Amino acid sequence: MKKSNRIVIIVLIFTLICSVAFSASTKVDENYLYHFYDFMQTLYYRDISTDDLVGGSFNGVLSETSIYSCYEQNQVNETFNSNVLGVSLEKVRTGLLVSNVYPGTNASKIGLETGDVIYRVNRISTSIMNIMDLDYVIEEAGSKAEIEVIKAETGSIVKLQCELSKGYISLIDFFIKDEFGYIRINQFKDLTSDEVGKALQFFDNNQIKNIIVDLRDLISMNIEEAGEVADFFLPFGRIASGGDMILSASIKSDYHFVNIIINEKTQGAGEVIARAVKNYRTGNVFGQTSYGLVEAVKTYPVFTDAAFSCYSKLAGTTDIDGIVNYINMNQLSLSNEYVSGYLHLVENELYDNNNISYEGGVTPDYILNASRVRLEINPQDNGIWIRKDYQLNDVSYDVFVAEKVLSQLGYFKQTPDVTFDINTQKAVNLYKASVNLPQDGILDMTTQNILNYNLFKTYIMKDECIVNVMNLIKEN
Amino acid sequence: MKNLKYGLVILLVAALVVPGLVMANNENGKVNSYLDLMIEKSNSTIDTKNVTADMITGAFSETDKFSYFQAVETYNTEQNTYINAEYVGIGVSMTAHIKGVEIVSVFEYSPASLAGLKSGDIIISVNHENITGKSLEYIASLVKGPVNTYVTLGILKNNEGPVLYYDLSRQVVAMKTVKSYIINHVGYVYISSFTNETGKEFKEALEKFNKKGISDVILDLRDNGGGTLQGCIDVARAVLSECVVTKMDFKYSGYLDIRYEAMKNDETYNMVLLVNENSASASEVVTGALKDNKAAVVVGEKTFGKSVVQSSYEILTPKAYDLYSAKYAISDMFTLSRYVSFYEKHIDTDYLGAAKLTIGEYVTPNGSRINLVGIEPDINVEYDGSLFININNLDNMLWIRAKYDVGMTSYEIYRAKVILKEFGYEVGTLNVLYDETFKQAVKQFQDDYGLYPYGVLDYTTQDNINNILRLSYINEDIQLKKAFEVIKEGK
Repeated sequence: MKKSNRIVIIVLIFTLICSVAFSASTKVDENYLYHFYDFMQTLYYRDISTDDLVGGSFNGVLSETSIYSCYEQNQVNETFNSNVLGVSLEKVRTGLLVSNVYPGTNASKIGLETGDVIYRVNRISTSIMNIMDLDYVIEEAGSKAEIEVIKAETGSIVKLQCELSKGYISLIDFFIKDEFGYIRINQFKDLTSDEVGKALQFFDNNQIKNIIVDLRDLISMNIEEAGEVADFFLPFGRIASGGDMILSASIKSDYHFVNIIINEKTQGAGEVIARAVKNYRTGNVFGQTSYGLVEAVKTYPVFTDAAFSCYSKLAGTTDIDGIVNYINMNQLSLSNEYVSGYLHLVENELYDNNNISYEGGVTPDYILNASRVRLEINPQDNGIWIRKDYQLNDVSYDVFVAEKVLSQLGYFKQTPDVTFDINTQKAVNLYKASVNLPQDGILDMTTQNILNYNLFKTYIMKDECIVNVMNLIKEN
Repeated sequence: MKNLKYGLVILLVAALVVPGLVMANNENGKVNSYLDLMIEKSNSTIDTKNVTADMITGAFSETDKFSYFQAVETYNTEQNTYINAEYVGIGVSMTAHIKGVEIVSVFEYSPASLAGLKSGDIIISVNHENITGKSLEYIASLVKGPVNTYVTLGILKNNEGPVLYYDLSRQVVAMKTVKSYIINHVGYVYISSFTNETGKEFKEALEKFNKKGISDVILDLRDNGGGTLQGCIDVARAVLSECVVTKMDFKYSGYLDIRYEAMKNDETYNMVLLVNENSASASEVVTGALKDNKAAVVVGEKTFGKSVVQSSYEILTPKAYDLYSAKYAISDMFTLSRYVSFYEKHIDTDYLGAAKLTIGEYVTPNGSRINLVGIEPDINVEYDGSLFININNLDNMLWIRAKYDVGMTSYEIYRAKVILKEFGYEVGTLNVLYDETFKQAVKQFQDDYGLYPYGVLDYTTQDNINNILRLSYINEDIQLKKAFEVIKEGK
């Protein structure tokens, strides 16, 4: 009898321990929360998915943390948009942060600037919207939309009428001007460092030693990619570290000496590169003291309810890190069916190789006015959208743009039109001869690329800051 | 035996405890896992004290800006009461809002209307004291005060943007929202916002026109941010006959869609309706009703596009939810809340706060949605941006708040002198003193406009001075000018 009693007591104690353990990890009553979501879905006049409500709730929990900590929906539409607003974006909790504005696009015309936050599109909140969906949402609304923006400088809210423009945003733009090789980084994405590598290779092939990397008006918290880019300019050593993130340059002798331009809007990735180059003295930094905010953002998938049940059982844990590790190890699918969105978390503050925080920004070696020139260029001048070769009798808008550039350069004498006629062919051949390409009469993608650079050069030389930097380099 | 019994009781208790735990966790633990991740990994510490309220607040991040959750510390039960202008002295009626108080309607000629406050503006501070979470009565007591003293209001326009500060002088204000006068044999009615009295005032204005045999009516709803539903339905009914005014379309099937209809009406009018991009909510209901029923030609700009039905719901705490859910065997939160509010005594600690939700929208008689879209006018007349003149809100209009006679001094006297001088009256020195010369000028004016010529600048005289001021601006107000052109064509 006593024995069974003891067992009962043990069971009871075990249950109590369980309940204590359970309540310790149970921060919110999920049964209650899901019934609340249900309540909202019943009454709120528009359809709203449980996944979005959960994501919004995560943002509610994160409300007092860094704005880069946030939930982001899955991309709604994955097809490539042919028309763009002309900005690159970073996800923040208040909406979509404009991290770079591409010159000459409609975005620059309506006055969008780096640091502005687009927080509503056609009065729809962007708080959990995927950064890839902005152009899609505007296109769905008939390519025109009203966006509401929190201006970086004043904090005031402005309404802007925006329209998509034809074109695309390259990760980087680069060209050779006299003895200078110029690279402007437009966005830090997974392939940015590859593109920079290709540009540097191109400069090397042309014996260009004076390299300028323009990081003005650029925000990005893709610190890992910044590390990859900084690697080109450093012989070895620690770039930045914080928590379990350590970025180091590989040991090499073929690193490039570099001239970097930053300004007060440069934030995140650009500051990591500039600080590293400055600390290792492998280059010069020009411009203005940078913004002073570097945060390493780590991203976790947010599983759908069904996928979470399934994966947590398979992995034998409800710990998100544990589940993610299990999925990576077993190479399981993370497609949209299983993932409702992403949770971005700022986990650690980063420090440079001298263990100094980035707070206060990076002070350049040479201080000069480094505001970027807003160039008013017609949308037609946006450049050729490089996607296919053109030849005789082709009709395309790109032919029109190419003819315009060729006429600016003096190769094409007629009025530009959309038809690739015999005159176009003549001009293309003349131009190709001048840049040592085979004169086959085809406007191939290489030629289109070079034409775009020419277009690019015509306005980049209007930028006083770049001209000043080039003069300073020449003097030294 | 005894021991076994004892054991059984303990087992039973254990059995009771376990299902309780399971019940509370019948979802799969996903949300808690992510919560753990955020708390463990985030650079800044996350306060988990109010995590349920934070999560519920966050769930509103995807809704329209008119829906929100108000946690219990800031929630007060006077949510739906209105405080009237008479007490306030700046000429607004207001209702509770998460950030302070929302202006429901602004009265004609009141300090608030002359300062440019609109229905829908949110007052977030009074004399630089933050009023978030304070009761309506307390806020009203701050706004109230002796006549001619000043109060500083911190205002949020459209629920967002920087805080704008307004200095308003407290005045005795008439609660009128309708202003009407006859201009060039056309009846002109301006409604500044909709209150439950607006319909009555509007009908009075129409009767005034009827008596003079005027059937051409311009209804001006520009800058009218809305107000009460009753007000706009009454106004539409006054000019419509046997047709649908508006429909209320709800998402929840338990709420029946409502149709508002107009009765038979013998009076018909040749009407032009003036709207602009600030005409919202109740104004859009009138616009939709008049446009779809072809009762008026709509002139001006596309309207604002806010036309939603909202309701407030009290939200139970998780503990209260579990308790009552077990008691009534209902898990659906909406149904349960209704049971609790009906059968249980109201206990404050049972509630986490209140949710204000957009639960439906108004659609026009033809079934078009207004919300987020707005209504396109029949004739588009936009301001070019360089000039904006609304004849009802002229800067130099008289405030009509006191009678003036010889010997008195007031800035209002100076303003009246300026206006009368403009119109060719001999007013003497331009100063704040009411002297004999000015009295003669007022007498002359009263004589010219068929008023009793006794030289006292009374309310009626001031109103007439405002009217001639308006007339002088009509050609500058390009939308109104167009309205007059259209109404002449319609004859």
